[in-house]
Amino acid sequence: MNEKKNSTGTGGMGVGYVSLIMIFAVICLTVLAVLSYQAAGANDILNDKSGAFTREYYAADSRAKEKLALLDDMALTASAGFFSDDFAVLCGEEIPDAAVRSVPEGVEVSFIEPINDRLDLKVSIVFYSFSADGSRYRIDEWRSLSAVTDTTDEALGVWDGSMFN
Amino acid sequence: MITLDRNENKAAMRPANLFFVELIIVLLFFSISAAIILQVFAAADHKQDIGELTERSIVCAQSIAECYSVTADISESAELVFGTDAAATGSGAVLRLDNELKASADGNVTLTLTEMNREMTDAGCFTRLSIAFTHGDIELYTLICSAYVPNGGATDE
Repeated sequence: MNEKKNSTGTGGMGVGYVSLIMIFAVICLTVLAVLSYQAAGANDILNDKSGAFTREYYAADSRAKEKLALLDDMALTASAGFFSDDFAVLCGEEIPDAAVRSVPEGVEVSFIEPINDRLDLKVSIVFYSFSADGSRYRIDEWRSLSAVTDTTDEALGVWDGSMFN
Repeated sequence: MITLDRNENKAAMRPANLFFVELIIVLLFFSISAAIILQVFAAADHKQDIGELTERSIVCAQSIAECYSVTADISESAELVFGTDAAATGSGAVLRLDNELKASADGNVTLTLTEMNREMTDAGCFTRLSIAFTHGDIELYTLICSAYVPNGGATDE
């Protein structure tokens, strides 16, 4: 008579399937969100390192330019007298860690400014004892190089193919 | 008979009721978690935008520092880098830049160039420049560089 209505009214879906789909969707979205935030964070770390190195380099560059200003002032002072000796003495007093040597044009001053524990800024400047065009110095070297000294391995004593000896 | 029909109808409707109740609860939890996840996505997007601006600022700051080390002049350095005259205010300059770090009157990135000190000697002039990029209240990047200009000039090799 009254047919038992087999229809559950849910279109064939049982209880629980919707929850499973929802859980799956939320897990996927959560993983995506966390990964995108982590990627942005990794980019930030990279930018921080890059920015820090740039600051370190220009701090070393500023210190080197300060020394250059000091050396140029000393060169101007020394040019009034016997340039090479006066300038070498002044260099030794004001910048003890600078290497000073005589070159045909005048005096070459070299020094190293540390950038960080891996890199140094090497500076080499030639100060003229006499110059026709009025210039007082020439920058020969102003570059960054590795602070770690090269430690090459000693020979292992591998057999060189000689049968005797 | 009527009672039996009513009981049969109720039995048939119970799974449908359960389904709809479950659906409502699932939608409720999904909407709450979606709101939180969307906030995380928005935060990641904002962080990425700031990171890109910071990266461009670092490169731009280096360009300005290199130009300044040669010219020792703020306006000239800004013109070399951005192709326009910087608005000089005393010993500094303020530029408005867009997100591509190009000069723009209504940009939301501010570049502030300030000469920190100037040491004059008989031989030349040593100056220090502060380069600061800001985006609203966020400080993107700052860099301090310097320049030395000899009075007699010098040849660089």
